[in-house]
Amino acid sequence: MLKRIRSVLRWAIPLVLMPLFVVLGGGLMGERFYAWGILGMVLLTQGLYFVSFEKRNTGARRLAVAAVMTALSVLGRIVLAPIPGFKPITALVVLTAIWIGGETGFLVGALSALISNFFSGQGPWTPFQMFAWGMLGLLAGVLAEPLKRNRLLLAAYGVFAGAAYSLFMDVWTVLWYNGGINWPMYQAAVLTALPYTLSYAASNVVFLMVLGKPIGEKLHRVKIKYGV
Amino acid sequence: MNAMSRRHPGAVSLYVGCVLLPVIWGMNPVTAGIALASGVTLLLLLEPSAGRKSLLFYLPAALLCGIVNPLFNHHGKTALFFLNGNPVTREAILYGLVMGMMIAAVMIWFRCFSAMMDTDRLLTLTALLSPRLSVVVSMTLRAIPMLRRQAEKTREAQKGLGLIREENGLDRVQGALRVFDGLVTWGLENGIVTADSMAARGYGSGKRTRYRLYPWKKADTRTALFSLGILILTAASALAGWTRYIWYPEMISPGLTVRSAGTYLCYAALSWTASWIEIADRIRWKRLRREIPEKPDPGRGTEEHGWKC
Repeated sequence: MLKRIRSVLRWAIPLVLMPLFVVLGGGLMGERFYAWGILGMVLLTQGLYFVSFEKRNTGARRLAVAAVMTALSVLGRIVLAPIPGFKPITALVVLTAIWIGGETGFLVGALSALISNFFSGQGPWTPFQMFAWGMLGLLAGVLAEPLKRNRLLLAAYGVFAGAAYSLFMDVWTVLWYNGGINWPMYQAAVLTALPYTLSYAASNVVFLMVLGKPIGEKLHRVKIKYGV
Repeated sequence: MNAMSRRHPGAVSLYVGCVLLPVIWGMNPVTAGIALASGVTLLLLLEPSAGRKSLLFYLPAALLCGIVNPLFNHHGKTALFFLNGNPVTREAILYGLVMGMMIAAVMIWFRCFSAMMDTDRLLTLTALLSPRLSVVVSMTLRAIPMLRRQAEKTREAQKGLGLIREENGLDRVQGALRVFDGLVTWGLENGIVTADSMAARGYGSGKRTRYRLYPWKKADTRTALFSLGILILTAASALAGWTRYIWYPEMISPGLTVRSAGTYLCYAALSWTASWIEIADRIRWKRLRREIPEKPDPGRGTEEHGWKC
């Protein structure tokens, strides 16, 4: 029964739900559609990924590595909770993506957001954080080869990831408080979030530089030794 | 433990979703007000003391929204006064207040949702999407306390060996990195061992069986159908324009007609359902509790009237 629902969802999400969402959403909400539309798309994309995750033949070892990396980043967020914006999650997600694979990176990013918010507070922002961290992981997986070779590029990706994460969450803030895109409000949000943006970028670079080599070696070793 | 959390997590999520969707798409002061009032009722029922404290935060935050919106939004035709050359309009203030009410309602409902969910229930939910995903979530949830304990052990051991000094801040950071380094190695190896052990016991081979901690009951079907029914009704009513507010350039209210009042009434019934279930459950419990004797009366025999009520 559940299996049938899942297989229906796998084609229904992209072919039926997403178009329906755009058509109905636009009609129902007019200008407020942006907030709601983006939230819905974010949710549907993740639903699609998780539903198709079942079909993929991911081995138990890879699942275990993903679970351990997620647990480490959640733990890092809990331990470093007193310092705002200074978290190792992005760095760990990026490292997992580079050395194990982009899809595993997406999984670790999305699950880190979902599970760590059980400790630091769930809210309407959870799907956005899941999406942002997941996508940063997926992208790092695409750029894996150059990022592995060049530490400077890795640091640059850290800066980019911090800025991208912050700018994306600011879009969410504006949509949430305003209902539609409002350029002056977005500028104000970006400006007030600037300390956070800098803190995200700095923490990403610090953690990527400090943890990059040891964790990279360990993940590489696990991959070679156990064929994850 | 509350009455709603005995329902299937899927039914609870569906219910909360059906309450929140009309609030998010509506920009309708009546819907937002109903959601806010019912959310406050439910929060005070579920978390009486913590809920009261967080209300002191959410409600002023909602008011603040009414002040902030007109500063950024200059639509609307009734300018009240000018600030830095920009008009502050009545429409923008009203819109901001409704927006604030809506945001407060969503935040409060999320609080209620968290009170009705925990990690066990999350696993049931993710299993609906993919049981394989549930395995990862469950392994992660198990690894968090395990890694925390192991970190403490590693730190003690390294300190005992004299590898960690704690004389200044730099030493502390270096020590934390040493521990983290060991933790990653240990965690990964341990994860692989777990995975191999799972594979040896037949994980991924043959048909998957699972233990249902929260079976889907008739009451869940009722809740789900009721929620979906009212959601469809509210959506249809909004599409037909019966409950549609226009904010800019001038606020136009659809007015209180039989159709809009009916929609609001149905929506109110839905959004107070959780509170009602909770209250009904408590009344039932009190009544049942009254029928259970406090303790046997030691003075008399048990044959005739040994139990006191």
